[in-house]
Amino acid sequence: MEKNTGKTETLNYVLSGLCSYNGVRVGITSIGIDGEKTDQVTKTQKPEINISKDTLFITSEHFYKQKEIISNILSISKKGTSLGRLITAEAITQGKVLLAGASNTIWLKETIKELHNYKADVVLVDGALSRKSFGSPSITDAMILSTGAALSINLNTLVQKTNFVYRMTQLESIEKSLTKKLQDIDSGIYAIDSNGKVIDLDIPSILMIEQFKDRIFSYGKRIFVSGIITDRLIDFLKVQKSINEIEIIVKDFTRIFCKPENIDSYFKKGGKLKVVQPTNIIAITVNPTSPSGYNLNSKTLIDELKKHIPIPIYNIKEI
Amino acid sequence: MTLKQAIEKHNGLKFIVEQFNIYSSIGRKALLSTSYLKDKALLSSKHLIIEGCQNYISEPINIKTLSKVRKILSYLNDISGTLNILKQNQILDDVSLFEIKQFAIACSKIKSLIFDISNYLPKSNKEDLTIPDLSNVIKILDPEGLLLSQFYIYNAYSKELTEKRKLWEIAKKENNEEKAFSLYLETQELEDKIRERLSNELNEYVDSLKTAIKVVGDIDIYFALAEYFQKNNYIKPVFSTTNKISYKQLTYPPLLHRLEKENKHYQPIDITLTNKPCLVTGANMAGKTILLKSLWLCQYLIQFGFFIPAQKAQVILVEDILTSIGDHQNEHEGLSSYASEIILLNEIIQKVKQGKEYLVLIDELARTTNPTEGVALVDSFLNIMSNKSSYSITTTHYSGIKTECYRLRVKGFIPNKTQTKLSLKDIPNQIDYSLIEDKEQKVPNEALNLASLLGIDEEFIEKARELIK
Repeated sequence: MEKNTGKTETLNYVLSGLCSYNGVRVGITSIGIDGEKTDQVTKTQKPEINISKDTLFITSEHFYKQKEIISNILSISKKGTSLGRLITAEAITQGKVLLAGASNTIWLKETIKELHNYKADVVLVDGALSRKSFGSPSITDAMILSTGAALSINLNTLVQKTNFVYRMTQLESIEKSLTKKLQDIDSGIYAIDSNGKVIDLDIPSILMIEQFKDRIFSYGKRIFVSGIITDRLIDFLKVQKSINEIEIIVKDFTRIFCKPENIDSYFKKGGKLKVVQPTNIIAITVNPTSPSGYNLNSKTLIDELKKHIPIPIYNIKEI
Repeated sequence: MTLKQAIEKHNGLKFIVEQFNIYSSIGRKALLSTSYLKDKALLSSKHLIIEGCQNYISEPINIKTLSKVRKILSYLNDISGTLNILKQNQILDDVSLFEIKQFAIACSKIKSLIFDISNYLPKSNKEDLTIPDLSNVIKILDPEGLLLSQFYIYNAYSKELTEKRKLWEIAKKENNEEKAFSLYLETQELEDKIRERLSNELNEYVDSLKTAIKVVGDIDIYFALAEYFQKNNYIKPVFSTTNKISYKQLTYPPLLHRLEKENKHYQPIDITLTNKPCLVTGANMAGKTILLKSLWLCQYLIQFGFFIPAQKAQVILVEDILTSIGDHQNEHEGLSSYASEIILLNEIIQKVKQGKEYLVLIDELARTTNPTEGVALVDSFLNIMSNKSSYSITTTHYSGIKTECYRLRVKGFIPNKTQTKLSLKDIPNQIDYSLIEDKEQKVPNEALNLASLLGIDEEFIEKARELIK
């Protein structure tokens, strides 16, 4: 959810778990540039990813040179990132690597496929919700959410924020017949009429919603927003008379850029929000230490979260 | 001039080049840097190689081979940059060493796939598509002899490294981080020494590798050309031994493509030219501009060593193609269309006066000024072109051009068919695009016919008709 919430540690934990199964070949990559040895924002130490023998990994040319591992280069991408092209390699010994990866969704899909081509059984993607434009749910089969004191050192706020993200991952998904029609649409705002027909409303941006007020509900109250939704849209919807008939559809939960209280008041008034791609969130990990050194009580944090969230919640360092 | 520059000038050329199936980035780059040639011998040998490739792919068994070659080409990286680094005696990193190894293995695979290609090529160019032997390069980068497109600093390079790596592994297993890190640094030092050694050894093969890049690019290009020209019935141009240019059934591919898509008929053109200036007249919409564009396109195709979209062709080579086609308003900012056109024309005249052979294509000369002076300008221009070695085609709507020249007229509207009203898109079906020699100075008056077919205001047209009478 935020830098320094223990994402990399979680990844290392999952990796070491996977590697204890014999015969499971793991492939690992990242979204965009990540895995800097020292976090570039807070200058805190960031652990490198520790991978075992035979693991496949993708990283940039720049990071490849910094690896502390013996590894075999298998291929080089044609496209480049700001840190050079992407290298697909195979670990010959166990050791540390820094990860970088594709900088957009389509490319990320390709790199995951590449890892499968090299016979990876499981592919892990080091993602980040702060880079929300990468709708990870459409790419990966499951997600682990990392949260922690870096997000807020106020226990209540932290729990509230984490719970909000969790609730957004649990939004109801639309019917399958519609999923097919909507999943590849990348721009624009559409109405879905009572027959399930998708109609382009020809509204260039959700930010211009006020100028196109008259048009938005001309084909009914089911609206698909292919990009992000913001508080402005929710504010507009909340004042509509027929709010309890309104259903907004977004691609996945990462497209929701709204304040929790705003979404809640929209729900309270009867508005609906659904997703095209549901997210399979399988666990939450917590890091009770903030980058500035502040410590929350790990047990209290987990207990508080558990009151709201019914999936496994761990502090990786305490397992 | 390179092909890249030429396709910026002529969108028909761009249309064709974009359809070539080039598979490697090396091939694409090489194709775009193809030079405009004036050397008959060089062009002829290109033709022979294309024909050789056409013969090669005409054998069914070779089609499979070609698709295997293309699969390899499609993932081939251009290692020119890496080779330059190597040439400067710099030490290559693992990624660069991997690239060279991958390239060399890919080349050797292509080489063995099309081992018999030289049998299809003319004697003088027998080895043009033969990739140099890179087995020594592979040997350097493949000490374990696995022939895999993979690379790291293998244990096989050094016993000392093998030992150090073992110790490093042990230290890691014992969780002795300090010791592991210092052993890691030691292995790095040894690896660097090996990289230096490998770079030095590879240095000797930079030239072979560079040749391989060129040949691989050529293989990609020639097969793409051979296939495209075969599929689209392009023919090898014959170089004229006189000063005569002649095309039989010449087509303009972008237009042909469009009409075929709309299920419409396309009419190819026959034309013969000498360096006597040629004046083309004909109704609006009769394809005069397309004629000029076709000749322009073909001349480019010829001089880049390609085949051409005609049934038969006798061609000449020219220094350059000088054109004045289209609206000139944008070319010289702030000037009127007329001023821009006349400045461009001046540049053309100056070049032609120097005596070299050019192909000069002028569309509706001086159309943007008054007809009296316009006619005079056309006459004067044709006069200047008369005693030059350049080939010129000028189109006009003006009657009364007196200069002695070769006159051609687009046949224009087919009688009988011009009775009913037409929509704009039906008009091409009503026009006979073929060229006939014209002895008269008078141009056909078809502007009014065309206007009435288009359903333009009757009073407007009738009044004009009366005035002409």
